[in-house]
Amino acid sequence: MNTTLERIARLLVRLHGREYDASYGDDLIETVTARSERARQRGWFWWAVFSLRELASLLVAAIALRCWPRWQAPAVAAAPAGSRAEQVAREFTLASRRLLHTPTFSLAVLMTLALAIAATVTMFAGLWRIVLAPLPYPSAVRLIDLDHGTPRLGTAAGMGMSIGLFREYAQLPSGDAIALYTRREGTLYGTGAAERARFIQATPGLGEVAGLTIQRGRWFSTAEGVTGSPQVAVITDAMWRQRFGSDPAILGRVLHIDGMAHEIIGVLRPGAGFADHRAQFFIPLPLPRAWTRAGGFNYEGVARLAPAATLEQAHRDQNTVIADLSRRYPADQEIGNAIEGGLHSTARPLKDAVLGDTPPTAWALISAAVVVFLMACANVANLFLVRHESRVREQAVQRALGAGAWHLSAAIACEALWLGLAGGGLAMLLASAAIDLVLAYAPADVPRLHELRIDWIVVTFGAVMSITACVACGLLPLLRLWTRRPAPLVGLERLPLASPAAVRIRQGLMAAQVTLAVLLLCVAGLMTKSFQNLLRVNPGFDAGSRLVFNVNVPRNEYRSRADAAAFHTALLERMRELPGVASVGATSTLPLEGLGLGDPLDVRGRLRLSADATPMVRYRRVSNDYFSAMNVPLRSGRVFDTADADGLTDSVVIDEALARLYFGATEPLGNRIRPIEGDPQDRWLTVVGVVGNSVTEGLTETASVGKLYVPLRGSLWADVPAPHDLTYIALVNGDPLNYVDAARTALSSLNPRIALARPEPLDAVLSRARASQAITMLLLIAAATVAAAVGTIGIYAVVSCAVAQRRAEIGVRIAMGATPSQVTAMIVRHSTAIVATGIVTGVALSVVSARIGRALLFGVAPGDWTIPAQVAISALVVAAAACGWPAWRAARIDPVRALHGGS
Amino acid sequence: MTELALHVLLSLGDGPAHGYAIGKDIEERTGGRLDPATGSLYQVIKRLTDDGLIRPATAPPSEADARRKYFALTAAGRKVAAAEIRRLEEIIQVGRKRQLYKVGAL
Repeated sequence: MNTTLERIARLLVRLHGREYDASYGDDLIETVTARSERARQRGWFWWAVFSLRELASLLVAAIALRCWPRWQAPAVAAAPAGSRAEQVAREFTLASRRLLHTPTFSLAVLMTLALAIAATVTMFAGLWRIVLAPLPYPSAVRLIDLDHGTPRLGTAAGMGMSIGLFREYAQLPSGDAIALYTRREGTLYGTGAAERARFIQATPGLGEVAGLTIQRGRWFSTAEGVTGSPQVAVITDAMWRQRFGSDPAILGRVLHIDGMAHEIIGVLRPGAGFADHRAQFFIPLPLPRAWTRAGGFNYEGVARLAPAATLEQAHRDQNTVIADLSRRYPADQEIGNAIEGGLHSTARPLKDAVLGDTPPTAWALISAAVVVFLMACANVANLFLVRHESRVREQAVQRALGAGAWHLSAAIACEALWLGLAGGGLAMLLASAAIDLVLAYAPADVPRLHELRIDWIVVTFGAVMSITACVACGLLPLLRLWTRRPAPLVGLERLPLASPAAVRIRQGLMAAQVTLAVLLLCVAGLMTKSFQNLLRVNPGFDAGSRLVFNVNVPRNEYRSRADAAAFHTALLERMRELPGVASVGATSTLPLEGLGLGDPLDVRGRLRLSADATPMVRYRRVSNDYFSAMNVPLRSGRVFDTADADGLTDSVVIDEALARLYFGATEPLGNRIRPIEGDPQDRWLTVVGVVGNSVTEGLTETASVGKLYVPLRGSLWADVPAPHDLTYIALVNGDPLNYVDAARTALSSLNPRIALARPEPLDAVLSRARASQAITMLLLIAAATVAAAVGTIGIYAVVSCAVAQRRAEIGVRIAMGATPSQVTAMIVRHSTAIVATGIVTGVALSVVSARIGRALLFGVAPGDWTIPAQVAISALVVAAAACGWPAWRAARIDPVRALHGGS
Repeated sequence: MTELALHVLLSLGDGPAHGYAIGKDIEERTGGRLDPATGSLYQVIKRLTDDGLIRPATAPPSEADARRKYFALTAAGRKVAAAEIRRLEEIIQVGRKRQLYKVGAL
């Protein structure tokens, strides 16, 4: 530590100058060392304070020593003398002074760069931390998500894993370690109020697969992963701190989860976790010793590939196992069906599974940010070019007084460095603030969002951006300086304000800016249109003024379906009596919560088709008032009544999608249905009503999923969800959240050991489904707005310069009789050609990028011409306005003064 | 003359000393009230040297250390220090006369 301090101190001493260093350097460093040792004895904190103070004092002294005597020095310095370091320091000082003298220019460049770099760095932080960085597990690249699909049954992927397959796959040589797990939510009670907590239930192998490290106690033993072993739990560091106040005697304490006591045997290290960063603890997933089935795809699986194995090899191995299943488990009907349905492994890298469809969004956003950054660079390059051109005369004088090309280059380079680095520094501050904002307001279902932060890679990226910005600032003037003959000193006052080459470069930059702005506007327009389409999607229910919450009754307390249904019926009754509640319903799966279980159906009296030729139908268990509480429209027949709810009838209600899939134009009412290859005990049920469709997985789904509604105490078909875990929907007067407390009281009056989970307005569920599109759209609109503003300013600057340069020529034209409108038209026509080139290129690029980013669009064809056309027309109008003002001024040039070189 | 500059002159009253010893002496004499950072201390030392009030000196043979640089008062430095102290004394006397300051009061 001391040597680092000394090294920095030594650098700062050198900044004082060679002479100073020779006279005082060694003694000064000795003093710093001796004092630092004394400060160290007072502890690290005081040493750090001391070090900062010492370095600050040395920096201030250096600046004072170097700047003070020269503060009054003339702008045109004599030929540089002294050491290289001194020359550099002097150039920096002079550059900073020149920049301070032109505050508008400096501030414009600084803010443009800071905003553009900040946007790029923020987006890059998202891309890197979320999409590119490896998952936070050891050898994360070798982790794969074990998944299956049955394409002929309409499930391409996402079935998950079963216990039987887990046992089979554990023997495969392509895997190193394997674990089966499931994300769960349970009610904790015993200390204080009942609380819902998320947790992971996993086989003991997860500890090794995910590299879960323990700070106290131990992870599950293999014996604890078998049915009948003692109930244990390993808690996260966060839970240990928050719920148990970092109790040192935590091991052996008991956690009551859904009424079952679990002994705490370990605490994970801070930050350790898996699959769900909000999971508070892990409990073992107990597997039976003997298992005669291969089906039951109710779990998720993760495995680590052996070092030499590939994903393809794992697919081959797993598919070989699957091909052999029907011979080894002849009695397992489910696996037989699945194999007929084309069951195969869809294992993929765990990261792909975690990220889902996030990467295209992240890439689209960083692309937009980079476009804005490029536009900012073009604008800044333009400003620098103008600044440099206007200093040609000053430079001619400097050269005449003996300044070399190196000196002139250093002057430009130092200005560029100052602005680029200061802009970069400011940008890092802005980016870190922006990341805090993102963490606070981004939708919670963005994967890996909690890992978002600025790390050294992000800082390096920011540094590269800053350096790029420096190059963008300084490159053009430097090139011009080195490739052009120095301006003659004689006839300086006749020198044009800009050379023809500089004009061409600026016109090129202007066309590039128009291109990029048009590109971003088109993309933002497409995104907006796609979001509008999303808003227009009818979810099939009304979301306003509705409170939703989840109530899960424990199966050990309410063992039968009838008990659970009776409890929910009682709670529905209590809720209905609350003042302000108009209607209350409950469902096993809320729209937008996913597919849920289902089967292909058999229709009585009809030719039986094979399972793979029959569409899947998803089951929903609902209370009587579900349809009225959600305002799902009844199309024909009737909805459930009390007799249905009590399980006295065999009624079911279907939705229009199911009716169309199974009955087409024929009358669905009165038909009797049951699962095609379900349990032989499954009863035939009668269709009594048809209701409207509602969305299932998301608003962007293209085909409606057929749904079968079963009353609270109806059907005992194996795959229809039991009435234990239900989501309530209450139609209320006023703000739905005002009813949470009343609902909670009603629940605890029935059973205080059951928690009311996830209360929120139904609106929130709906906006969550739109959130990722909304955020992408908002960010793209922001980027496009900035781009449009920067582009407009760019056009204005270029045209103004062109007009200033052509003053004399325009003066001649006016003197020869050109009318103001002719002059204006000439300028506008000339600029329009450049703008048009930019627009055409931008539109072409936008068509290409819409094809690349198809996945992000909804209801918008990539070849949609309306948006590019609108953007092109608006761009033309804005560009005409941006050229119009300088052109208007050009028409009012006084020919006499212009020809005399006055203003 | 700044207070720190006067204290540097005072520190050299006993004979030549190096930068660290000067800083430590000032800190001890003022009970920690003045604890100049190294940069500020050497800024003052350089200015006093440039003004000819102190000069580089050879180290006492017992403490010879090539990296250390010793400073000593010049004759001009002694005079300036004395004049400055005299000026302060006059100020103190005025303060006493006007009863703004009592003997021994801090």
